[in-house]
Amino acid sequence: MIKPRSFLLVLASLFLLACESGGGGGGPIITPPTGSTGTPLFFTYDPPGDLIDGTGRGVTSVGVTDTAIVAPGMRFPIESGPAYANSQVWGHGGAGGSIFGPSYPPAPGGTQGDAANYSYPWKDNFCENRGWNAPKCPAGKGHQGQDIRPSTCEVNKHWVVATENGRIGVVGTVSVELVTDTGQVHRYLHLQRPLAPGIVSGARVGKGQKIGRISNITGRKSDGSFVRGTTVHLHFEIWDGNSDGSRNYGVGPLPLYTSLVDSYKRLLRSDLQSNFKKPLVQPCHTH
Amino acid sequence: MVYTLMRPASHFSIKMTCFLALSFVFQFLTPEMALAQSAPTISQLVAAENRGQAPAIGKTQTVAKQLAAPSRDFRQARQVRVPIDWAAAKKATIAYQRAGRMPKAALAQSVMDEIAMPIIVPEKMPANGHVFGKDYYYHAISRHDGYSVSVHGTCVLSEIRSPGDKKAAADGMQIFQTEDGMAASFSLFGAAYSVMMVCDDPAGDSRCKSTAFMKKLVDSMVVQIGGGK
Repeated sequence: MIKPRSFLLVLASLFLLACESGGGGGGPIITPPTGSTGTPLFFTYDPPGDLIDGTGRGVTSVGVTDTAIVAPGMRFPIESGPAYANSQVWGHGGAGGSIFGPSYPPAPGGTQGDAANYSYPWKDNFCENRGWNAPKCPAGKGHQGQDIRPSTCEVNKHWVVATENGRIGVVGTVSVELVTDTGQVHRYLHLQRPLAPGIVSGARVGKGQKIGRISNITGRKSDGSFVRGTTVHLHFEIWDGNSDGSRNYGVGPLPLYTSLVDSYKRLLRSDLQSNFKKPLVQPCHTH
Repeated sequence: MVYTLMRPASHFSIKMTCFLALSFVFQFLTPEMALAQSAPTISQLVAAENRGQAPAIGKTQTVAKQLAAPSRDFRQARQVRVPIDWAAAKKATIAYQRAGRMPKAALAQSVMDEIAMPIIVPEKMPANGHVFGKDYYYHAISRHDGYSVSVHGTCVLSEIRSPGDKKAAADGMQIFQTEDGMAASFSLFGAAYSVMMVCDDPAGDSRCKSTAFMKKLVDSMVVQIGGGK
């Protein structure tokens, strides 16, 4: 005799796996059911390197299209789903092209709490236009990581966790370094202070251990107060030595979208198994 | 005619004047100061090794990583261990030692023995600094006034192809702004390195946008040989 709850769990798992198989091509094979916001309930993602139109350096739409995973087996950096990887600058409530010049597209308007910011599909924003060098980006400049919104835009609520076993490196005002036992540097930005207990430079941490809560901090003034200059999100970076197969380009920020997609799928599977009642879409209603 | 006869005498006078002037200056230099002139900076070492393009990685060894769950959608980036040019690293270390440029805080021998690659650390490594790592990578962190510094070195490279690679190759050492400071990325002695300056007030501290300050920071570092080499 199969219990109804077990049956539902198996059915939901089948749906999830069916949708995953189409994700790599940029869209699901099976049209998924939609939630109250009209967005897919099941995880979908646009292909790596496919930026929002015109938001790449030089008003292009192409980032890094090499799909290789640079951090295989890593844990997703946010404790629990759902989470939404997308652009902060060109999402609702972002500044859009106004900060880069008229040739770049404007943001769609609204506020960061717009339901569209809290829906799938995911969007790669590594190499999105910035004035900073990003050696792996086509133009040599661009966004050096991936922005991820937690399930709601509440400050100081959603935990980020260690992606691997490792040690804490520099704890800055804006960023925290995790030096993984695999030899990479994973950087978490915009975390609320204080961090989780025991998170200090040199401390050993275990995979999945809490590091801090997601916030919108971009600096600290000389009077000690924090500058809150961005939306509520985790900016996540992976730094490692890299080559093109023949030459050594040093240690720098690497394209990480596929590593995040891969780890998020594993998180969803475990979330589904451990907390079946958790809804997969929770639009953000606070600003 | 008179002018022609005078020229050799003038040259001789100039040479003598220069010699006497230099002798006067050198008598005030200590042996350490004189040798310090011969220790190359990190950026000089990088420029010499890069010669206008990122260096070739030589004979590599594929690193087998144990995967928790191989991805069904994407391939794993190939990771290779690159050979270290120990002769060049040793030469640089000796040059720094002869110049009297050593990390002010001693690095623990046990840590040094674990790390099988050349270690680049701040010469003025404060007592609050840490160096840790194992075999193929290390990480050094130190706290300074208004900012922290981390140095990361590894001899395992991930293979990721991008059109941006050509740009990176032309620059040798890349110095660039990050979300909260500055960074330098380079290869040296066969290994890969980054130096990161993490600022307390990235928007308000002018040092956090200064390429010149970052280059000076990198050049204030010294090379030590790990792995008991």
